[in-house]
Amino acid sequence: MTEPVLIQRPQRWDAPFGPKMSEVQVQGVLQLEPFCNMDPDKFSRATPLADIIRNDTRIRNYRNGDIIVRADDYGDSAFIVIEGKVQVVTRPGLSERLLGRTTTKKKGFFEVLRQLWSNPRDPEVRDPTRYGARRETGSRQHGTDETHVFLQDVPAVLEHHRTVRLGAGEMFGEIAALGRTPRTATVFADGDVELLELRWQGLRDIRRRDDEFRQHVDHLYRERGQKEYLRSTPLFRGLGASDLAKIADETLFETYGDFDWHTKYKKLAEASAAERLAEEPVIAQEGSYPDGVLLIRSGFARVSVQVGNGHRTISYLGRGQAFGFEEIAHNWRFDETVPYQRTLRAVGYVDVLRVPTSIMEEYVLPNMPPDQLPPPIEARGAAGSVADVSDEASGIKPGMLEFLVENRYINGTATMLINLDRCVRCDDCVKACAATHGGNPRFNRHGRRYGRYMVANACMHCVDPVCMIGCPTGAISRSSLGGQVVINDDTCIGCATCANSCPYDNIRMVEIRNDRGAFILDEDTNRPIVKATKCDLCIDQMGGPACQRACPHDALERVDMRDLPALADWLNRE
Amino acid sequence: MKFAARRRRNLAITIAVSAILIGAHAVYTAALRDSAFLSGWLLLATVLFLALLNIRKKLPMLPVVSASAWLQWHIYAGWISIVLFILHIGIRFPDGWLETILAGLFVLVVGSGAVGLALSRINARRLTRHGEEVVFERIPVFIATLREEADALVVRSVAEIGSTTIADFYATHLKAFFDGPRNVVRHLGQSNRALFTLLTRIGDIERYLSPKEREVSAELLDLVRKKDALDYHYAHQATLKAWLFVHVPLTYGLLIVAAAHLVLAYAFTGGVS
Repeated sequence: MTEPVLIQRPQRWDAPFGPKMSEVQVQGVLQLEPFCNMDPDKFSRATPLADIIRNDTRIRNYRNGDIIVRADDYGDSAFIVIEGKVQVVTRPGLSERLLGRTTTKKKGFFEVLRQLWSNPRDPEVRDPTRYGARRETGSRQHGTDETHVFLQDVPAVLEHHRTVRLGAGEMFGEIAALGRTPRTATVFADGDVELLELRWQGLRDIRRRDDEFRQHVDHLYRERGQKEYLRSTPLFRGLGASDLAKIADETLFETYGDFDWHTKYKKLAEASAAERLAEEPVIAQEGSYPDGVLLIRSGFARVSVQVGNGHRTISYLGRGQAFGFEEIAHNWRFDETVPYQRTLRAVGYVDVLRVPTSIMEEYVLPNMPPDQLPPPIEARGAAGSVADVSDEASGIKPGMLEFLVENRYINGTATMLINLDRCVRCDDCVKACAATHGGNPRFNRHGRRYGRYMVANACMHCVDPVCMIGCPTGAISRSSLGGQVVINDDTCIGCATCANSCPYDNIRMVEIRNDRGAFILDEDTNRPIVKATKCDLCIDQMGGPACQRACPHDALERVDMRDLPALADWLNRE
Repeated sequence: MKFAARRRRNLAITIAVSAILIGAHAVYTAALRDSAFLSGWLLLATVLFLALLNIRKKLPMLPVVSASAWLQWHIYAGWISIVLFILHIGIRFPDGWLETILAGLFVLVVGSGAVGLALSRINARRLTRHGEEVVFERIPVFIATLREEADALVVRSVAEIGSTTIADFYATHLKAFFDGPRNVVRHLGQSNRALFTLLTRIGDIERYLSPKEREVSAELLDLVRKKDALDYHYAHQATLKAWLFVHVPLTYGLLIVAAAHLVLAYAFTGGVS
């Protein structure tokens, strides 16, 4: 038998955020606001504050006009100004064009028809003259592997937009980084500026250890939409403003799971069901006291029950959905203490609002019409039997549900599902995609299978679009037309950050050519220019996704995985 | 809507439309009008509508009815065209040579359509249940890869083991099998006789092999199974594509002969219409 190989157990900080911070830099940062006000003794020995600074931060330098973050982009880090100033654009926000995004318009009937004969014969043909056409912004190389996009005319921006100036010691981007929500404003450098970028893991640990920082973040979080979020939640509809304010004050903001789940996705996909489950942090445990209603603020959570020595997924919850309300309502109505009937786990990364039971009993349940209260809970045995495993109320077979959750396909708002029992492999879907994208299909009719269903390699236009994190030019963004994730070919610099981030391998890097079929080369390196490409859900076509409309056998559907009843209907048509 | 419910609804509509057509034809005949013109025009219009599916498929970018809805209309209009055809010619064999060709083409188009519909339902399910999903155009590449692996394995067995038993067997019984898609008809008939025969033959030579050769033989056997799975996919996917090469050209032929028939019918109508 071969001898095992001994290595050091991988540690959290094996891969620091950026180039190694020198001791002088670390000590310098520790003198800055807000770190100088933090008590190092409150940090654990395993994660001292100095080590967080050393490993979870990096120094970033920007020049006048460089865009640091864009409104509506996703990010996983916050920034603290070390030296210099930045401008936060409040209103009106910068135009899509200035931010490097695509401003797609629907094609007219004749433009659509023209595609019949105007599509090039060579793949990935582009007009090279259009790449220099943008004049309001430029891009410049910073170091060896960083590109900064800058505003050409900063005075004009300042004249037409209201801005707020932030100086040394001030922080921005923390809510978007912790809450996995889009950035709320664009920030650019006002003169040369030095920033400390702090990745979310460090932010999370500081928030956990430092009361003042936690209160600061929670205060910002409450200010920025928590009340609106609670008001839009069906459970709290109809409550008065004062009740809502009280609930918001008492509600706890919690985060679970791994922000960087996509980096482990492929490895986990090969693991056993038990191993995958073990990686998902428990938010609420079946059988424990229901101490609050859990509202999913962002991300996904798996709802499961114990069966034998494993767990069976019975549903998944996404943004706006609640867990634990049935138990709390039951206990309030019947003066009992029924525990949580299910386990709730973070799938990837989840933001949760925990509304305490006492608050529910004081403000929500007494104001709720009796017909809206959930039915009583019937007592359930300790652990279910595998013989009890059957189709859940959702109408989706247990195995299918496990497959969709474990592979994180629930992230998709337009997941391409193919019923292979009806698919005649004619590739009309692929041909239709090519016909509407200049002769280039934007998906592969191939992918993981469960039973007779296949999830094809097509962009799912995720709820949590990890591909959008880190794009240096803002070329990948959500469309203002319908929220689709789209790539602006004009501003894509071919860095492949999005393609490497996509856990589902649905973004392809392609070498582009001119209309004569010759490769377009970088004049400096003589190497082909590459662009990121993917499904855009036929955003510019009149009839919606051509792949779905072209399938003659009802075999292909773009499914919004948040809509479980629609998914169940489609799966159960046979 | 569930497929069964849709099928029931569409079938009910088809039966109702057919009944109306039969009734209208009977009334027309009872009124001593030449009903052949009525049924002929309706039949031609239906066939033209049926032919539009192919054009719709060529224009996926147009925001018109989805291909699946169009195919449903195509299928049920196809059944209605059979009713119209019977109303048009009656229950008899056509007499003139042009009419015979026309009727023959119609029967072939309808027959190939019905076969295609059945294949679409049967072959798709069979492919789903038979191994990994393979893109048809990639099958020759995969076969070539398997062939190269098999060739390399055999060459290695000669070089390393110094025996030609497996090489001789390969040249006699397996080389042709790995050269390209094989046993199409057998696979369509769900017969695994070809594979069984090959596996039996490989089993038969086991007694002449050394332990090292048996390892090579086991690897070869694995390649044979993979190749057989590819052949299965090739047979079923090729059939799914091939029936359209019969159905579509015959439809165009039918339209041309129908146009000639229309001209002749009016030319020799003698003023009766």
